[in-house]
Amino acid sequence: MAKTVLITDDTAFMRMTLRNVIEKNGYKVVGEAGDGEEAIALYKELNPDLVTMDITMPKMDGITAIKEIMKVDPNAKIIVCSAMGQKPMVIEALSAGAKDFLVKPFESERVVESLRKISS
Amino acid sequence: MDINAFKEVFAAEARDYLQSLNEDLLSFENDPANRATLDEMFRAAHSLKGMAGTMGFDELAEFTHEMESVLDLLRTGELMAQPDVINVLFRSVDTLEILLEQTINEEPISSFREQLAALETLVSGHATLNSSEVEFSANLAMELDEFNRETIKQGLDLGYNAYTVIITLRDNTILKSVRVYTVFQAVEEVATIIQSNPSAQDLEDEKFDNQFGLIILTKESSDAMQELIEGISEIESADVSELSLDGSAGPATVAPAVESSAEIAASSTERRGTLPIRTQRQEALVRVETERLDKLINLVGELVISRTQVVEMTKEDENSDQKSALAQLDRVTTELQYAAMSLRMVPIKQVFDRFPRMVRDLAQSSKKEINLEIFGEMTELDRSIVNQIGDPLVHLIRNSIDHGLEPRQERVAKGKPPTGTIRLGARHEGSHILIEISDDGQGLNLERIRTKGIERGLLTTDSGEITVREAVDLLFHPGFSTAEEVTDLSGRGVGLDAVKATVESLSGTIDLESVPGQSLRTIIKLPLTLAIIKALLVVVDGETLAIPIQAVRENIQIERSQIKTVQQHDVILLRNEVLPLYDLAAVLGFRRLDSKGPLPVIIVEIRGQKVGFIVEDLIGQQEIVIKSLSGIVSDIRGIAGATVLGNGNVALILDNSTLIR
Repeated sequence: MAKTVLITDDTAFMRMTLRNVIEKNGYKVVGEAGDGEEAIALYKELNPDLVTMDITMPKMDGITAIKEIMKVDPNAKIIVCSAMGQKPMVIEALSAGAKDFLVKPFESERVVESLRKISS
Repeated sequence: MDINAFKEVFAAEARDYLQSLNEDLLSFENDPANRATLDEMFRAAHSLKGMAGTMGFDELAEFTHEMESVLDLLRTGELMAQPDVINVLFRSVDTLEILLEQTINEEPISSFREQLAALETLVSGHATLNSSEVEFSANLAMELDEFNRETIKQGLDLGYNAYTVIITLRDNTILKSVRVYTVFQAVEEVATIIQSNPSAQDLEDEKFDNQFGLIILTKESSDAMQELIEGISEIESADVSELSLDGSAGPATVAPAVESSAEIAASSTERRGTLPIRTQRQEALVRVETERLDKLINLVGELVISRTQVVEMTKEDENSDQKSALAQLDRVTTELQYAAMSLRMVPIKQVFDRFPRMVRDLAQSSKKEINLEIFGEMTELDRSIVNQIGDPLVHLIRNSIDHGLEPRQERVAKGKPPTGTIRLGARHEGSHILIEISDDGQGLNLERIRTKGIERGLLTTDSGEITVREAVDLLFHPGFSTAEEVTDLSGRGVGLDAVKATVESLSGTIDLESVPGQSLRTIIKLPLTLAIIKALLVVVDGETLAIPIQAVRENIQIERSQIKTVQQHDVILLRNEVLPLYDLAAVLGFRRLDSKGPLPVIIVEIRGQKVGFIVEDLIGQQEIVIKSLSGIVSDIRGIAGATVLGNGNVALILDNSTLIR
């Protein structure tokens, strides 16, 4: 069975590109969230195997969302997505429970490697 | 990945961000203390950077990165929001706009380096010094100090394994220090890290090449440790070997190369704290290609026509079941038609949004104080009108600023408020939208317009004072202003005839009202939609033709004997006005009618001039759905399109503006 993924990013463009890469590599995108609050709600509803989480988002940022999701499911596998120059926030996200990180612009190989490694 | 598939989404979203940057920058200039606006701008630049990077648009990514850096310095307070800084940002937004469009359209990228340098200067002028001057030793053999040696000894006694681990990161690893952090996190779940090489601090500052060493204590086997670490992203390899306490730490000698100072400087601009939250977000919106939308609207148009045909065909039918079914079809189709039409409607905000920035720039360059008030920006009208009304409005607002509003001192001397006001607004009125632009400047200068009218030969030299009404008529006259005077004319009315032509091509009307010395008001009246128009149906040579009602002034009947000839041209006299007269059949190349009886004549206004057209017969007014012509018949003079009538026949729609020269 294909692993299920929830994508979280506030820009539709980034969600689209990520979905494209993820689905081409045998994973199933079960949901897309546009902000942290949506991500938490969708996580509870869909219980995905993997989550990608943008940091900078409206309503609720990714770090807060990671903390909340970890409360719901301490085994959640979350990959935090950041842009260059957000190092302190990536570290904060990792210490909040994210299992790996990706830096924009995404390279397909890195995305796939990350998905593969944290889901194994 | 095939990135081109995403280009449209990218373009649309990027343009949105650019627009919000522009708007936020304006409000930021007025209220630099507003943290939320600054956060919003930062986020816009940040998102643009990420998107551009993903698309592989390096120039865009580079440029937005620098903008983001400047905005961040403003956020942290390291950079003050001085006028020069704000001006650099405004120009950068302009540059970004050009850069974005060129990138999207795959045009050659024009020079943006200069503007990039301006941004870089702002950033480098405030770069922190401590990070770029650090030197570090290249020889970093891992020597255990007495304390760590003792710790390991105790660990070994307690049955732990002591390993030296050499970890190699992949060459192109991004954010190496964070990658190291993930390694530390993973390792520390099952082991204790006694020492690292380079030091934890140097690892965090990325002062290493792509290898680092750890000395750890763990109960896990060396294979398990290797598997654990190699299971982390971007790790090339992890060599785990037993540590012997005899002598030094054996293979744990890692010599990191010195990184370029540029890279170190770059990492010094890392920001702290969480990012702001974008306050408003448009939800429940779906982006649809306009092409698909147009197709739907077109199909609904076809359906409306078929409906009319069916209704007409069964008019005489007595079957009441059929009648009620048809009535239902009629109602639903009409509703569907309105729903489809509403898809074409967009708020005029799209056009108005560009004006605050434009007025700000013009106010600055003309050294006038101007307050722009906008109202009714959510008023909706047809998308195709929105696309074309921008330029005329730009023209009118420029006129207001260049020629209407007085400089501060002059205003004060006249007893006016020192700041001039321009009001721009829109509202619905019946099936029309009214757009108003007014200013409290000097209004029309009647004397100057009179002089110019005489110069142009539009007035006789002995004509006395003119009224506001006459002045307005002169201003709209095609011969009144000429291009070379755009810059030196200090009165009003530069190229107003051009504005009028555009408005009329959209089936609209334009009028000016002025109290000389006090105000000027321009009112543009436009139809809500161009897809359905009211037309007058006439017959010429057996063919039905549709004339947009907007231009029709009246219908009259004349006798042949009333046709006069002036300079070999047919004219008629209508209420003491001499009007050129054409036979529509002749103009269109149809067969002329040779009847002896009275002739129906349609009086049409073309470019401000009334003209009479002889037709064969009048049918009446009707709402018609415009279908544009395509292919080889797309560009025929005098024909704007075609429509299908209720009886299934096709009628050509006349284009008044190009019908006669």
